[in-house]
Amino acid sequence: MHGAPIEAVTTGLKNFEAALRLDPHALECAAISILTFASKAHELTSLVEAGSFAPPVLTAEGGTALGAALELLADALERDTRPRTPEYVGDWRPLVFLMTDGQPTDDWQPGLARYRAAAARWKSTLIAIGCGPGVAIDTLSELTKTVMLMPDMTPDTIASLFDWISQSVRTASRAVSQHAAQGVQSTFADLPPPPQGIRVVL
Amino acid sequence: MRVKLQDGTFVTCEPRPLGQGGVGRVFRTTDGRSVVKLFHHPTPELEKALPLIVGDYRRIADGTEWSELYRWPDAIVVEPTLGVRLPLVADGFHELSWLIFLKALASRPPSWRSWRSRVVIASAIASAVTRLHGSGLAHSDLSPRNIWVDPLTGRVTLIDIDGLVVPGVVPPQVLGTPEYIAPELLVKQARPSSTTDLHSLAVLIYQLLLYRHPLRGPRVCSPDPAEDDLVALGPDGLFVDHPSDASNRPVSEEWAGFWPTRLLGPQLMEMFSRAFVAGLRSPGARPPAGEWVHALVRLTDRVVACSSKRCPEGFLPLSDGVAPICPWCRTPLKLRKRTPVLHLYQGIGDHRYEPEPHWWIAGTEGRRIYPWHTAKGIAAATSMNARPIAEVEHDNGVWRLRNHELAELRVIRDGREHRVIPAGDSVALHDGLTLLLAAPPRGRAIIVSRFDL
Repeated sequence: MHGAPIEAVTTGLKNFEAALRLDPHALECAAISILTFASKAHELTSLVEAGSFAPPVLTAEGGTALGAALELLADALERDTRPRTPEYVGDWRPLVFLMTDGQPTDDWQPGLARYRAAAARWKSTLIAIGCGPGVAIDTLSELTKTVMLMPDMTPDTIASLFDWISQSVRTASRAVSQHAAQGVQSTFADLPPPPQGIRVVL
Repeated sequence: MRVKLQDGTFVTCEPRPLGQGGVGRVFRTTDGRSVVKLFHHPTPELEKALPLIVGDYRRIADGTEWSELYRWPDAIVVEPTLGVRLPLVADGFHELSWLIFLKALASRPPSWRSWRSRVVIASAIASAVTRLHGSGLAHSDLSPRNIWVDPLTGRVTLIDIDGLVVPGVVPPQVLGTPEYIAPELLVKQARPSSTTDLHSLAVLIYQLLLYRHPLRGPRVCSPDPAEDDLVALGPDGLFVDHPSDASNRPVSEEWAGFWPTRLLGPQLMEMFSRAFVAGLRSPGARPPAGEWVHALVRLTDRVVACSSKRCPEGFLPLSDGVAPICPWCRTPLKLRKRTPVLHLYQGIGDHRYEPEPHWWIAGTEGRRIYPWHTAKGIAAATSMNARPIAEVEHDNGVWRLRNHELAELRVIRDGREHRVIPAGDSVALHDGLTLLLAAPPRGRAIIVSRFDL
C-alpha cells in the first residue's frame, strides 16, 4: 500500500484506539497486536491490553509476503493466546483482521498450513479485507470464509472500515456474545453489518 | 433521517447511529432530547409488547423519582422499521460497566471510585427492580450494559426497558448477558422471568460491593474459557465464598482482589449464600429484590469514611464481628472518642418495641437520619440527594443529634415521654438515651450506645 491509503490506515488506527478507550468492555477484555507484511513480515506492535495500545505509524513498502505473514500470525496465536488457568480467565477466540492490496509475492502454502493449525487450536476467526483493484480474491477465499472487498481505497471508505473494525472488536468484547456463551462458534453473523463501500464475498 | 411515530407525527434523527447492539440501532433525535431505537428484526411478539410497555405499564415510571430510575420508552416508531423513542440519558450518566470492570475504572478520574456510591448504586438498582417486579414485569437482561449510573451522585437509570417480559403476554426477546444470566437459562431449562432477574441482580450487587464475579475463581472447568463459563456460570457453578467448599476461593484473604462476603455483615452474607449456593439450583431460594433494598439501606447506615486520605475507595462498611480495618487499604479505623451507635427499634404496639435485626447506625459526624428511619413502610430514596430530617453533630466533645425537620422527636425516660426536641434544636447523645422518631405504633425508636473499638 502506498501514499494516501497508507496514511488513511494510520489515521484509522488512531481512531480505532480512541474508540477502544471509550469502551469499558474493550478496556477490560481486548488486547491488540499489529503485524505488517511487505517484502518481509514483522510484528509492528506486540500484544498489549486495549488501554496500553499505542497506534503505530505505517510506512509504504513494496512486496506482499503473505506466507511469511501467516507464519508470523501462527507464531503470535500460539505464543499470545493463553488458556484458562487458576490464575487467568483465559483468552477468548482471537479475531484477526487481515488487510492486503496485492498478490502474494512468496510461497504462502506452508504459512497457510501453519496458520490453519494455530487457528483451529485457538478457535481464531480471520476476516480478510481485500483493498483496491489488484487484490487476489481467490487467495483470500482460501484463507477464510469471511472475505470483504473495498474496491475504492478512499480515505472515507478506509475510515468507515476502521469504524467497523472498532465496532467488531467492541462487539466481541461485550463479553462473550450470547451465541458464544451457548457454545456456538463465533461467526461473521456476530459482527456488525459492514459499512458502505465494502462488499462481502460469499 | 425522519422516522414516523405511531400517532402519525414525524421525528428527525441524526443520520449516523450513536451505537448498535444485538437487537437494534440507536439514533439521537435532532432536538437533542431523545434517542430512537430501530429494531433489526421486529417480531410479532415485540409488536404486541410495545403498546403495553409504552401504554399501561408506563405508570411504573411516573413521578419524578421513579421516572429517573428508568429510561422508559415514550412513543412507538412505525417507519422505517418498528422502534421506540426513549428519553436521552442525562449528562453525567455512564454505563455501569465502567464501575464493574476494574481495568476500565482505572482509566477514569479517581472521583469515580467511592465505595459509598457503590452501596447507593446497588440499593437504587434493587429499588428499580423491586418496582418492576411489583408490577408483574421482569427486565430479562439486567447487566452492567443496561444500567447507567452517575458515579458521583450514585443516581441510577435502567435502560432497554423495551426488552421487558410481560408475563403471560409476551415471550422474552433476549436471554440476557452470559455473566449475569441465571444458571437455569444458561442450560435452557427456563424462560426469563422475575426469578431469573434475581440471579442477575445478586451478581450485580456482589460485583459492585466486592469487586469480583461471585462464580469466577481459581477452579478451572475447561482450558477453553467459553466452555469454562458454561460450567462456572451454570447450575454446577461454585460460589467463590462458599461456606464449606473452598475450592473456588481465591487463595487467601490477603490475595489482592478477594474480599470475604462477611465484611458486609451477617444479613448480606446469608443472602449471598442463598443466591449463590442454594439459588444456583433452586431459583426460588434467591432473595427477592425488596430484601436486597432492605439490607442495602441498612448497610448504608454502617458505611464510614476511611481514616486514610489515600484510600482509593474512601469508605468502608462496619459490620458485627469484623475488625475495624479498611478492607481496601488496610488502614485501621480511627473514630472520634465515644462515637455513638444508634440502634433502631420497631414499635409493636402497646408502647412496646423490639430491635430491628441488623440495623444500627454508625453515629459519625454528619450522619443523617432520613424519613425511612422514622417509621415502617417509608421507601428509601434511591440517590444521595435525599433530604435529611436529622443529623449527628460533634460539638465541643459532645455528640448531639440535631433535629432538622422531624415533627415529633421525643426523649423517653423510664418508659415515659420526657421531653420533645423541636425542629432546629438538638439533644446530647448520652449512653442509653432513648429517642422516639415518630408516633406509635408504626414509629421507630433509637437507643444510643458507644463504639468499643
